[in-house]
Amino acid sequence: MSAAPGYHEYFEYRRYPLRVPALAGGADPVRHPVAIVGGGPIGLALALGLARHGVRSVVIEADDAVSYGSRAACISRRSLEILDALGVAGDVLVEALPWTAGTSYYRDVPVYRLQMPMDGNQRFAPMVNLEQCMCEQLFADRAERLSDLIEIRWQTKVAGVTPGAGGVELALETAQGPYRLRADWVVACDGARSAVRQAMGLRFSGSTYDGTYIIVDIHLKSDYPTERRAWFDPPTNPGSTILVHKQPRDIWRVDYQLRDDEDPEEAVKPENVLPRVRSHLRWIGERDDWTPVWISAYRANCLTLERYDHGRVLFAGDAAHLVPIFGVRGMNSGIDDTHNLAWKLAWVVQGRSPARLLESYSSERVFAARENIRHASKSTEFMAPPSGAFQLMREAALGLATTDPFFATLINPRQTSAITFADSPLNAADSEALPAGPVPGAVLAECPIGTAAGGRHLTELLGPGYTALCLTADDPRPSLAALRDLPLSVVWIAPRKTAGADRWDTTGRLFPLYGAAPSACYLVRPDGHVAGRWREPRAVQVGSAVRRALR
Amino acid sequence: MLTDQELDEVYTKACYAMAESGEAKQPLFLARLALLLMKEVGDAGRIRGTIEAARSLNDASPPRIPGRFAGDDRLKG
Repeated sequence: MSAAPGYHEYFEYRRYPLRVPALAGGADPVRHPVAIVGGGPIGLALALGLARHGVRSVVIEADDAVSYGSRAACISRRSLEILDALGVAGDVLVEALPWTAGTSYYRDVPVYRLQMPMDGNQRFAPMVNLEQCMCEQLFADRAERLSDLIEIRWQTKVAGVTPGAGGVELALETAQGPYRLRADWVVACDGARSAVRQAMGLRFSGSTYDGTYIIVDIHLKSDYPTERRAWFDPPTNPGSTILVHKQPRDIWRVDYQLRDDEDPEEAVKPENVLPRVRSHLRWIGERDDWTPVWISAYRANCLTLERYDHGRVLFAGDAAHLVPIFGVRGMNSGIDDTHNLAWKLAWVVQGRSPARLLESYSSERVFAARENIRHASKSTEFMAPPSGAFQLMREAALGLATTDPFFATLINPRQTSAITFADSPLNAADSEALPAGPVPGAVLAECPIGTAAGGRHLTELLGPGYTALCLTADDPRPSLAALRDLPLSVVWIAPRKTAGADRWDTTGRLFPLYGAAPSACYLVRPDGHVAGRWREPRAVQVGSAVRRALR
Repeated sequence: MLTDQELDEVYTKACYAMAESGEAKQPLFLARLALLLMKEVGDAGRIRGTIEAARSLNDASPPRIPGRFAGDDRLKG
């Protein structure tokens, strides 16, 4: 797909050719360890994640280029940590616009100031804006540089899925005719209308909100800073809610809610959309000319599959769950899915772990989807009140918030945050009552550390296996020497610069943040979730926690 | 004092309870809720102050015509 006539294009698209392998009897003669269906951000992130563990994958993508149109726009801090592990955070940060704050207005009065968590411990901004299509292009470029491990088959559609005990056969269609492809594992990352999900007869459960939002991308030069601006009942669009986000390369995202008495099919026509955008832009002081880039209609969905592991077919991203856009949990939760899945699937493919490990992928990420839906529903109910009662209560809350900050917290858009898997089967019992720090199942709290090579951050220390972060004055390596056959790296962080220690607490904040009084050992999974924590590094406990993933 | 999270929860609960009671009975639901909260507060001075606070907002925002959106007239003009 590309820009409509007279519209501005996001960037110059690269078109990829169709490549069909030399076939044997109508089939790809290669049996692939992993086939990923869908070359969007989730499919590509999973391919990059598997490559990080040395596992080859083939990505099946129906289109001849990355996606077109207004989709995900905000990348969370947690996603940036994941993208850094995948080797693409640097490329993303060159393009993306970082931001920390936002303002909500009731009519023309500012009623809430959003301030996302940001302090001197952080490596990344809490949020950066980048159009999904550009994000995908950066992922595809990275995948191309890893062509010995990732092959993307563009212009190739999945027409059928035949699961078997030892693998899956995909029926593929191309302009040069159909062929079959066999894989040990198939991961469906093919989005909300997943062909794999439909071919397997699987259904979402959950609910859908009635309200419709119009989503518009425009090309406008403006030096207004990057932040989230929301207007409730603005004079330019009475009764509606408008959101404005700045994106790279002079693209602006404008979302607005339709009133119940409006017909979405009529309302999405450019002749009805553009005057409303124009009147709002003029009112907020944007005087320059602008060009439309994309217009579409959106309805909030709260849907998920009951499980994401179906034999040798796995589901991730929008193919597995649909979360309302408010709070930016769509692409971000999909990226989290891939980070959870990549190491588990890699270890199963490599014979290091039993296939049962993938059950924890499903249970953890289904739990995350339900949590994401719960939080996003609250945002949705405020941004797009589902009935007169919600509308009336919101009007009362907004009016009170103009004079009383107590009510302003109700306007908080509740942006995405990492989910804690308190009940994960991979968690060791948390029995040593550390006074502070992330509990088993949570992700790490960021903190700077000193190294011989200069300043680093804690989340940079995680390798592709488990990592034992040992915050202690004494070298922990002798205590954990018995574990050298496990996929585990031991990282020693001393309380201060110490002879023999490669890393140390350079700010004096790390040890208190992690309840290391005087010491602590955090075992961290390859996806950054804490698997267990103890007052000291002890081989019996650390080893048995790592083995939970191996047996 | 309610925490942000508690306020969020009771706000949402009130929204759902109101939606359940149906549009025609919503004012009555709100009136009952106000009376029950008066009983809970149990302090005439604070209740009088709260009534005045709500009334002052009446003056701040012009009353809306049911079924129409304030500002429609502004746009026409």
